[in-house]
Amino acid sequence: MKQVKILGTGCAKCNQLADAVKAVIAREGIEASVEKVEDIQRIMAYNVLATPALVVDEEVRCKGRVPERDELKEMLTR
Amino acid sequence: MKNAVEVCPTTALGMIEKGALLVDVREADEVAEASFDVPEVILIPYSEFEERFVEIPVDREVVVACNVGERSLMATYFLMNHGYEKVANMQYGIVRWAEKGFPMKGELKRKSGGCCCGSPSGSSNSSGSCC
Repeated sequence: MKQVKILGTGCAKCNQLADAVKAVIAREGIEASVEKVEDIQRIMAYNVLATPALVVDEEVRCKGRVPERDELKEMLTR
Repeated sequence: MKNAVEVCPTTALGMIEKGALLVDVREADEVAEASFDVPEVILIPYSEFEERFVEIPVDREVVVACNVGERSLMATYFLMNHGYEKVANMQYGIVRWAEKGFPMKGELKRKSGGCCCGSPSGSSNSSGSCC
């Protein structure tokens, strides 16, 4: 099962990414746990300044933007 | 990961008076509206911080500030991750600084936070409004 984390302090874009990730996971039947990380210290453990960021299995796959559905699917299934 | 050192504006002012370098990470339009009136300040917008943080001397005592202390806290951790040991975040940012009546240029109109994505608070972009 993939461990997915959405890093962001709770702005609209962070919520957009979380919703988009959950939608792709549901549509594609990906086995994954999704956690939103809003604590700044925990976010900065990944050394990410530009949020929202997507972390899959502890690897930062995207930061500072909300990718399109197909790109997200690729990031979540890689 | 170690906790960041956080100081209130009063302590920050004391540190600056004793030689600490102030790093303002607010965006250019925010700075144009109101800014810290201290002898030595480096302006590195949050949106450019990753590329420009090397302009900050490693051996100086540094205080990082923004509007309310959120972007500056992330910048503080970023500096810590890159080996800066004498760095502190100014809690509550320029908003509290202004409330305290500390030296400023201009008039502060934005009293809410800034954006984690690098845009000033309340601005919008192609992906929708932020923070």
